[in-house]
Amino acid sequence: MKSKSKKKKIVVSIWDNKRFVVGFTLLMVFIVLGFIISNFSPYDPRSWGTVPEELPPSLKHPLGTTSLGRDVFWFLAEGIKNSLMIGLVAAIVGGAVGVTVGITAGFSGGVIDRILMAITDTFIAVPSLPILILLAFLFKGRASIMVLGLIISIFSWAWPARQVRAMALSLRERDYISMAFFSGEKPYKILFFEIFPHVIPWTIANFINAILVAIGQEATLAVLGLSALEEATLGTGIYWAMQYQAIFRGLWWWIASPVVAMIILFVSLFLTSKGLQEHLASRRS
Amino acid sequence: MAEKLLEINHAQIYYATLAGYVKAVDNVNFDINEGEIVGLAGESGCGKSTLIKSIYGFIKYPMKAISGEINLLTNGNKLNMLFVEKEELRKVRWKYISYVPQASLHVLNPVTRIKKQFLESVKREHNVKEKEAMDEVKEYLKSLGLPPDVLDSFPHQLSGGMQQRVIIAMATFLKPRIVLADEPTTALDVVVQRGILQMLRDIQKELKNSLIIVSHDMGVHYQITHKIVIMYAGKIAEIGPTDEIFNNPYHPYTRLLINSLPRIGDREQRSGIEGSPPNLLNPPEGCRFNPRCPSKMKICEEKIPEMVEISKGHFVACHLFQKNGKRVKEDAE
Amino acid sequence: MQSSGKLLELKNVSKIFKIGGLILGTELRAVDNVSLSIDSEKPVIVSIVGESGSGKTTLARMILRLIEPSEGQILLNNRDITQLKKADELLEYRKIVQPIFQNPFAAFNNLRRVSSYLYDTAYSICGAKSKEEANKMIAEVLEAVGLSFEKVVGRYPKQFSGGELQRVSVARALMPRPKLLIADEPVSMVDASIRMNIMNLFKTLKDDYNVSCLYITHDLSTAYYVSDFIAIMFRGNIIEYGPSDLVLTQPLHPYTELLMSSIPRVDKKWQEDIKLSGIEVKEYESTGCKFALRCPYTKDICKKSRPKVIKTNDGREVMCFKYEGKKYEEE
Repeated sequence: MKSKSKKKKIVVSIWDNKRFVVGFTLLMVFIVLGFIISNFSPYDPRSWGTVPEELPPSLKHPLGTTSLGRDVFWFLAEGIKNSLMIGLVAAIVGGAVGVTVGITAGFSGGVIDRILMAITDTFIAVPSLPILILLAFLFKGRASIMVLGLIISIFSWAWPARQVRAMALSLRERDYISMAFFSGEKPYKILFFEIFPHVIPWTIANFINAILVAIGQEATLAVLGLSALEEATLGTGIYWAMQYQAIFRGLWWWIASPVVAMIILFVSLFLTSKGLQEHLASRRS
Repeated sequence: MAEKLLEINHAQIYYATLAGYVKAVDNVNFDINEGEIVGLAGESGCGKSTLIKSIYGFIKYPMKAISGEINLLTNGNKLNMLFVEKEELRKVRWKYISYVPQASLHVLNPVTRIKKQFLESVKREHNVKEKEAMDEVKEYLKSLGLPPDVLDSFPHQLSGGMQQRVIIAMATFLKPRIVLADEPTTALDVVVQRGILQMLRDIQKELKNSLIIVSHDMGVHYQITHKIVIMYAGKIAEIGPTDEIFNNPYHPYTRLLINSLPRIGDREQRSGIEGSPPNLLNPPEGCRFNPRCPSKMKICEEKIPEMVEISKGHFVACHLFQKNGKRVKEDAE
Repeated sequence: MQSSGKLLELKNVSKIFKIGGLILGTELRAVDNVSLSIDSEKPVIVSIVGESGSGKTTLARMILRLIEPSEGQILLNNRDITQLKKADELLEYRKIVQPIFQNPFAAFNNLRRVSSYLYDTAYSICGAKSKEEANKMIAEVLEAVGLSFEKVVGRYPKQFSGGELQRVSVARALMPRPKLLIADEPVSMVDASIRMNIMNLFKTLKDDYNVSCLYITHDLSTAYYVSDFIAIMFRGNIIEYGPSDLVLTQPLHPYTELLMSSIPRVDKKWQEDIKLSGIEVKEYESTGCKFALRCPYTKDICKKSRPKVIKTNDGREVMCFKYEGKKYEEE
């Protein structure tokens, strides 16, 4: 009855999903700030002493200045760009490796599956933070943004791999996959046209999630002083503010700016990913 | 004469969709008396499940009661289950009317022992101490041939058939006047199915109440019901005593449906009914079976047939029959 | 036994599933030492009947190469199907064997047009060279199942009723003119009023197109209606096999008797009550006859050792100690 009564195709737009709209709008603000506005910085936001020290927010310095003589606003804009970059690198590398490992394991089965999953499980089970700290320590806070992204991606592929494998395993059992085979469809076409479309929606949602996690991990490393301290990221913003006791000295704008920015960024990423997932789930049923 | 327990008058229950109302149950009338086992039969989408859910007052969006009455008659009181307050429902459920869901639905809570679930569902109106209630429950299970130690198990430790038997025990423990069973044996193995149907029948005999059973399997109806309500596309096509429905069906749909059932030991060529059930968003004008009916007349496309009584307790809604029960013309083959 | 002249031959096929972890897991024999064959000369419909957990679907999936047998061989025209690896061998295989699935809405990808499967089959399996040739093939099979080309081509699965869509899948399976259809519960999701139309289709395919069919079902009545031979499966074994007339009207195995007495027939009412056991039995793990715990004729030997397959004079096979050493010879 359900299938018969739905003769008219119901088109549900992603823009009807409130979570997505709010999340995506906020995210766009961050992207514009990080990738466009940051290029118009009047001075190198990283260098010290370019502006007078410890000024509260004003028209000239919308988010004030730091004890190091940096403009908080321009440092933040640059930091958003770099944090997003780290997130992107980790999510792309982790996602690509994860999907490849997951599909390979799920479809080959047997020994290959068992070996790949043993490795994957190891990466899931091992606590990532101590190892990240160890690796970051080797770079003594001088890693570039790229390298940081890669280090973080070491741990960002395992969970997607598990999930994709589970999906591949269940897809492999679907009747329409067998039907495609018995209709003479080539294996690569089955992979691309029958299986990929079902994995892609999940991959997109997971991708955004991976960005979120990577930004968080970078911040953790930064607070411990192990990130790319010479670069501007959301994490290093917090690091320097803490180093100079910004909280106790009442320089609230210095510490609050990166923290609030990070919280809003997290919320926007979370809402975007959640909204996408909801939308895709409703479309599939 | 047996007491009337339930009367259904012009019940209309629709489903709201973006494309409009799906007329799942449309102007349905019949009564249910004490001591009857009534079968609701028909194909998927004919409205039998919607109807039985509504009798239990289980109407949830997008399902919507539009108009009509499904009156539960309890000690001289009438309660219209189509438009009923939650508080009222709580008073009658389990005690006057109970519901046995599909076996595959896993309605038992997987993390709670059967014992606790049993007591929770039967204790509500029944202010008895736990110990006493427990003894009563054990006695009852024994009388149904169930080992009392199932009470100490978790649902997953029991087979599907055993879970369903426990659910039936729960549903009948307070001796309700009406027991509703919605596809109670679907997805169970045939041997277990027979055991469960017997159990339902025996309990009905013992309590002298009435049992309404929904099934898509005509064999189930043939084996245990006294009376069958044949539904087609949201309307009742025919109501009659079980044996008459099988041996002397009046509605062309019933006749074709019964004839299409294969029988072991009889290899005669059988055929199904051409076409498929209509879309209930826009059901056909007149009789809803007319696009598939071999005996179609002009009036069938224009007027909705009314229910007429042909012989005692045997009703049919078909233009082949006049108000006085006379046949207009012979049924086409 | 000579193995020529067999379209399909299962030789002592078993499928073992591992349940649980590598160390503490247990084994489940979903299909246990099953042998069965279908002659290639005259087309037949063979029903495999069993309840859930009998292994009938696992058996079908092995014949369709969707899973591999753990033990034994499955021969198609005397070739082991697990050895088929090369593209042309697999193509040849799909020309001989085609499946019909239980739920037509799950068998067609709902994002693709139904006809795309028909065209794929025409080009890749039947070797159609041109669009005209493919169209002709498609129109022909659709007509055979009672549908029109115009009504099917270009539409999506959601635009069909279950019965129509199942007919399309029968039409598609028929395109390469296969020798064997594997139909796993093809009518269980189809409405009762149109079920017989599809069952009749299998008869027509057998009579007019020489297609044999392995009909997998839990429904004894349709199995009786359509099939020449019936195999009754129980907990992984075929416990009784023979002409469907004999098996279903004069069952030999106690389990077949129980099944026959339990189905809700529409021509004979149940007589005395059956009793369901209160205990939950573990029949898979038994080393004796798996039915022994429920069987009314159980003797000591039934619980200790597995019965052998006994051939009867009237062409049946039964796996039960009741018939051992009687008037029948042992295999």
